[in-house]
Amino acid sequence: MTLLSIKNLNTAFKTRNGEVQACRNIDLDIEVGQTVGIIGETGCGKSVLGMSILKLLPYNARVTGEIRYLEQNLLTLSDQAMREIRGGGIGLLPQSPSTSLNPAMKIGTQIEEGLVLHRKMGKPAAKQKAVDMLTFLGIKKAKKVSEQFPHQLSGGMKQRALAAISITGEPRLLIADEPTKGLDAIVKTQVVELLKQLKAETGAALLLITHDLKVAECLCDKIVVMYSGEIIEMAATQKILKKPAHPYTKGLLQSLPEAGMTPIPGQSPSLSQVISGCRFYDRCEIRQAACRYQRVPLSVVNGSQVRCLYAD
Amino acid sequence: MYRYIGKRLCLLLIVILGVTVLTFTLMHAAPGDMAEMIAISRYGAENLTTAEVEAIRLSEGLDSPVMVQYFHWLTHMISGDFGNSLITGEPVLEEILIRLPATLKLSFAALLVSLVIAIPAGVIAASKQHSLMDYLTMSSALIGTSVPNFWLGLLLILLFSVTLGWFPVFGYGGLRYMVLPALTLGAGLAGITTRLTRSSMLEVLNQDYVTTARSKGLSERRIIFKHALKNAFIPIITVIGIQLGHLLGGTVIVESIFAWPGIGKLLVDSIYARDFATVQACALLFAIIFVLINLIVDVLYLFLNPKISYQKE
Amino acid sequence: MIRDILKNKMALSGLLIITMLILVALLAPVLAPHDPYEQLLEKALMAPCWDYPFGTDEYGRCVLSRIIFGTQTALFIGLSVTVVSAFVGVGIGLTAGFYGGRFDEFLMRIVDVFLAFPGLILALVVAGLLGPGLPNVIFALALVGWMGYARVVRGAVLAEKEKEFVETARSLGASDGYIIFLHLLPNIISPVIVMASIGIGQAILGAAALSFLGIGVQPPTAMWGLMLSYGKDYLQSAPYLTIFPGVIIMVTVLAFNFLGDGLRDVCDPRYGKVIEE
Ligand SMILES: Nc1ncnc2c1ncn2[C@@H]1O[C@H](COP(=O)(O)OP(=O)(O)OP(=O)(O)O)[C@@H](O)[C@H]1O
Ligand SMILES: [Mg+2]
Repeated sequence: MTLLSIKNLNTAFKTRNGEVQACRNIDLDIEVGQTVGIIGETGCGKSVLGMSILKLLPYNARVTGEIRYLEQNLLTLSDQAMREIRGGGIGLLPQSPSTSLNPAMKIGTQIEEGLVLHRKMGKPAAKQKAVDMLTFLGIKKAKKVSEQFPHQLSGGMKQRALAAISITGEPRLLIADEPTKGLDAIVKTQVVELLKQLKAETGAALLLITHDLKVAECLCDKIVVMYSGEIIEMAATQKILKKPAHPYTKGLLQSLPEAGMTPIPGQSPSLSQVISGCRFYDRCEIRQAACRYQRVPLSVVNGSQVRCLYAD
Repeated sequence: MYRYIGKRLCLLLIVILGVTVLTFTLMHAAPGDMAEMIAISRYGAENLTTAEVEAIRLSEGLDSPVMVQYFHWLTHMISGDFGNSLITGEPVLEEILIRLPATLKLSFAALLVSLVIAIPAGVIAASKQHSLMDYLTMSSALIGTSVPNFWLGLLLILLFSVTLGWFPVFGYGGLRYMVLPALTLGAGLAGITTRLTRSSMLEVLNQDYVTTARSKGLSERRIIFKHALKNAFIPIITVIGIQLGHLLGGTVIVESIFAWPGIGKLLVDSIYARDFATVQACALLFAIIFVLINLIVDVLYLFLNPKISYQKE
Repeated sequence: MIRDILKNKMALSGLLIITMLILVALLAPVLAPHDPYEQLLEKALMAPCWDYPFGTDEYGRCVLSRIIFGTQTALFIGLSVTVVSAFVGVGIGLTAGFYGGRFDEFLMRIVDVFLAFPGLILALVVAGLLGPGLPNVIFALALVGWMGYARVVRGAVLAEKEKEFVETARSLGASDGYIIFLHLLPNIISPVIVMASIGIGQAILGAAALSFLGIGVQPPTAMWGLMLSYGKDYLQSAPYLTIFPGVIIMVTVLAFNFLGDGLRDVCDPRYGKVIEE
């Protein structure tokens, strides 16, 4: 069953220097319980996609298209109804643990809020549940920790606290924005374990935004590759990693340390640039004259969806 | 933390010492012969003899080197002797202490007025950023900071005393007398405080943890009051501290308009009368109060910030 | 840059009003319907009418003409105070930031001492002690206005100093003065301009406050604060003597605040790329 279905999503920001279009014609389905990874280089619009789903973008953003969660189109939903979805239907595991907890509020209270709101728990019950959740997520002395403020916690503990917060409303979809960014290998493994644990506990689907192909490989059923605001390839994890179809995906895999770290030459085009043909044209090794002006749709090549006229 | 406070106190002492030097220099750089002026104030300008002036120069120690005079003055002040008024001959400190309560009363009332207006206005403007409400609030705030308070005072008198007759034109007494001066002094302050409240609220609302709070599905109201306000208060307090300085400066004008018998009016009157001793003492007092307030605000900031107070344990 | 300024509504409206004020000041003799100093006692305290749009004061002088000529005084004071305090402040900030160490420490304590006084009080005492006269007012206001520049510039210099290009310039054998002027100055110019813009308004306001208190510029100079100071005695019978000069002071100060705020938005790199604020 499809949990979230995104159709022709476009997100643009109005800025002084014109319109920045961070998401272009995104089509993406997430099944119940599925884990979908989004990869792509920095600034390609991954976080913006995640925040578009939650409708948590700054005021200068304009989002069009359709984001269907179960039966409802989130983009036309009222603020009130959207608030019920946030936390309750779709949870967020934010990007940076160090700044994502309120410094002036006890950890416990920050977890309780969601419990009281979405599970209609009383204060004492929520308090107990918050401690239980922290314990479950591997925090020792959870009772004491729930009485502490964020600055008293280590980075790993903060991440666990945020994980607890993200699932308080028993969401059916969890959006995790670069949960492993800037972590060393050991902690990274822990976070991957944590995410597995969260999935096992809640049965939620996971939208994992990451730079890290390793992490994506460990967790994801399906991987979506974004480039300059567009989805350029989308397929089952093993398919993408073993037999990438798009030249950009190939390049990405070759830039991995194991593959000899050969970076793709050049830079991705600015998001405010309007390009009628392929956005990867300038950097592409197999480009042809047609790529320059012809609109390139997502098409099925060997079972992957690929945005390339000459993919094999 | 205590080390920090100790360090601040040392700095404070240095600054206050500097303030005394500056005040002293100003008085001595002023044109005119001090001894002669004292003599004039005592005996009148007519039939003043050189002998009398010279006698005063000797008795007041005005013939000794400047450094000696400064230390003489400083030691006297430390022992609580701020000299006598050149006009009345009464001890300056006594006069100041009599008037201090009036100024403090006015300042606190004005602070209250400004906070009651500014904090809600700033919070609302920030939470409804880019709305019409926001623009209106911010425009009024900017106008508020640009209105000369001496003019505002007159307008208020014109409207509420002269035309409507609700409040007395000037004078000192019960609450009725306090309304217009406090409004005058508080309004300009409210403008600045509103702007700063809004910007510190916005700063907080742009933080990651507010996004976390939003992602929980909390109501905007809960986000503002439970999550943002508490964090915004720390910078707001600092702002209030800085603003108190403007407030002290404003008392000079407001007290003059409304004949409010505080230190501000005393200062202006003494300048008119060229009563150096009183001017000196008032200026010094204003500076000391101002520095002390800033110190208190800084220390308060430490206590309010959970991060720092924790390290103390 | 200039295009950004013109696009910013606040900066633009401030700039427009200021341009108008400058024009009024320059064309005062042409624009003023009457001689601002001519006393016609038989015409004293006339309410606004066709001949005297803003009425006449207690000496029968045309209030409108006095306001028009007051623009000259106000802008002159605002500009000279700001130029003096900006020069002193920037100079001190540059030297303190650049040489650092004890020298910096010493200069910053001096800044602290001047900041220990609420601005108006210090200006009042200095202007009061120096006695009446325009130069004294300018001196007094400049004396309380330079510290902000010094602090900001020093901070900027300290930050810039960390950056590589100063090191590079040094290693190439550039002298201190050369480094200061060629590399650092362009980087601190925008905060200084913002401060100066707001500073002009504040100086005008300060001068008005001083003359309102009867300190500083003396009659019969056409000056807005003085007009208020005398007009207030006729608050009941001739309120227009109070209202009009006040409005013009407010508009002027507002215009400079608008310009400063607008410039800050344009210059501040934080607001540069993305308009999130
Ligand atoms: N409020 C905004 N206004 C204008 N542009 C924005 C805004 N928010 C994001 N952008 C732009 O959208 C683009 C995509 O940003 P996004 O945060 O989604 O990148 P990302 O793929 O998550 O990168 P990273 O891996 O660094 O997190 C960026 O170029 C950014 O400049
Ligand atoms: Mg991101």
